[in-house]
Amino acid sequence: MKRITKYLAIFFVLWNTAAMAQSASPHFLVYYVKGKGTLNKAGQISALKKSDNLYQADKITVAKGGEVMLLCAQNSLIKVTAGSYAVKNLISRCKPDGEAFTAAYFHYIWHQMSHHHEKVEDNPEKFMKTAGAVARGKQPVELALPVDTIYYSSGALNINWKEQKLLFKLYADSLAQVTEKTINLEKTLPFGSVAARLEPGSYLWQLCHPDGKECGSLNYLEVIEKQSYNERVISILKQVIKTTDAETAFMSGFLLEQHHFLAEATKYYKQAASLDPSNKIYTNTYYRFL
Amino acid sequence: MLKYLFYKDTFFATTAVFVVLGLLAFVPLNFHILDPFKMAMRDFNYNDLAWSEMGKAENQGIDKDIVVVNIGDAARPEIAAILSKVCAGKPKVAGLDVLLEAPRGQEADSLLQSVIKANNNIVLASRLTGEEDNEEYKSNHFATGTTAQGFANFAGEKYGVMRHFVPEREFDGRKVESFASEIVKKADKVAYNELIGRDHKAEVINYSRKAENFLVIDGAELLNNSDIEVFSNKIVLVGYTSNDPNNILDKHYTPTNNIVTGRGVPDMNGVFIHANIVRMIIKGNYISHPPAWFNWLLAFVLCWLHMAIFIYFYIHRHIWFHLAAKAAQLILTIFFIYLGLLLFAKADIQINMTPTLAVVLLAVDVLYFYEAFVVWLQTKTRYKSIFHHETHH
Repeated sequence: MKRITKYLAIFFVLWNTAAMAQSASPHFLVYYVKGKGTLNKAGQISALKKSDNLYQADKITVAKGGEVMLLCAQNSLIKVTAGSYAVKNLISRCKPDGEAFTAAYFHYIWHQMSHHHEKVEDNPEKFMKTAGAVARGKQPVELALPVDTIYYSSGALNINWKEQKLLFKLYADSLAQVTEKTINLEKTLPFGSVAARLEPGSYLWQLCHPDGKECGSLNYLEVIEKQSYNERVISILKQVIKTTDAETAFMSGFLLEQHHFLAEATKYYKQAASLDPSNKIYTNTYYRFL
Repeated sequence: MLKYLFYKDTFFATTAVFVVLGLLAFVPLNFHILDPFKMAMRDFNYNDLAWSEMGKAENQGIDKDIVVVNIGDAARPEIAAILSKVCAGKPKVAGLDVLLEAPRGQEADSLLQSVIKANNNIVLASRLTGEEDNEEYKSNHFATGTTAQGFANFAGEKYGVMRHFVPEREFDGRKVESFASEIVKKADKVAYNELIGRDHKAEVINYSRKAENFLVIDGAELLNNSDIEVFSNKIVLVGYTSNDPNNILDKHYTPTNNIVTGRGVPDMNGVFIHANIVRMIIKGNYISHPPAWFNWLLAFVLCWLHMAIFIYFYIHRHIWFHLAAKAAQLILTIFFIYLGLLLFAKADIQINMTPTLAVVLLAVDVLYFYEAFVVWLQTKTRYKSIFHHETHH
């Protein structure tokens, strides 16, 4: 009887330890693997692959000529090259906070690759995504793109919605000034062709119902000179982590969209979708701009 | 049969049920194969049946303390005029359930600004937005100085059923309060202190009324009508409402929805959810939750009773054991769900019956295992038990 009790106790401890280790949050997610790599989880070895969860006790090995990008829990990225690494020794290489430009992107990737099972009762503050109020800054229809602010210089940019005629009104940046342009539209605002003819400067625009009485909120448009625009785009693209061509293009588009350079983002999303048409995230993201 | 309650085997078999339950809870596997079922049942809570099937929130009559004013498609100048008229009726408090986060020019904003400045019983709506680690508090543009504002967020899955609200919380090192809490703070200080005194991170919203049980005044009509007496000493919520089922602007799923799984369209405008929260706070009709230890103790006691009955049948009426046990499991599972619902619907007590249901469902199979285990134990040791090789022959 004593022996059975002892075995049961050992079994319990082992079981719970293993279970708790697995249920904790990972320290890293594998973001990119070039070449060969292996993952050692408590003696079980498997090929290292994208979206693997890495815990403190795990070890990874990267073959000669290989390269692995690991996404830290803090939304920054670290690169490891050939060699063997204990995951616990890599944790200190994560920056406390993600880079301002890339944090949102890696946060998005982390959520795409992992999911939590928390309930509202356990942590209600994480579930406060729904506000029970209307905004008086709304659009007359749901638009496919975030248009509060757009920085523009050149290039095609379409803003789409579903099956409704709308009126586009463009103003100089004070409402007191005369409306510069009014266009009747159906499903698409060819924003690029309108904005391309504007002088550099600030403008406001809105979409209204065809009678012109009920309008959505005013949105901000800044037309920027080519050189200045390019400099800003380059500074954003400097933050892009180069991995596969498709992923690099997608990340470029994502960061540009986050910073309101929508026309520029379109080009990169298109590139990502054409490089990897089987990736639904790439293609669906690009379809928003068509 | 009573004596079976006091056999050590009954106690040990009951304990074994909880041990197995504990082991199952820690299984380090992710059952993604069950995802289609999980997706179908996602965001389902059987307590919702209290509203849809047992008529909780039915027959409550029109709320006498809260009046809702529908702003419709009014822009800021018209909202200012509506709010001004509401305030002229001397309400206890007027909550403006509209997010006004940026200026829209002097012409559009000045009137609203002056109405808000002139009335110190107005509460404005703000919101929390963004993900957990880059959350942002979007303050109301008109909330300056002493003007009260509260976040209009509820707590629930995105596009899910709104069952909870957070009365107050920390944001960026300061305390921010919900829209409903701020309204009650101005309308009824005692009720507000009770809410804060409960110190709950989140409260279950005890929906007591559907939209049709609130007096709704159309804002546009109000401007043409001089009767403002209706607002006197009332809590007035100014927001957007629509009876059109196809209009889902600021509409959310609530447990009062008649379809509990695979919900069709959202059923309640945000302003009515706030009205229900305010109603709950001022009346103190909170949902009570017995502590977790009580739920587990209840599960243990009921499992013990079951085990005594099962062991009796196992030993003395074995031919009937399977039939009796399965019938008991089925009937008692339904009974416990019904009991839980009844307590929730009629007494506002939310007991977590999951442990009870789980142990009742496990009891029979664990009893088989326990019997085999002690019989084996008897062959190795001198362990004494009511089970032996010929127990049920």
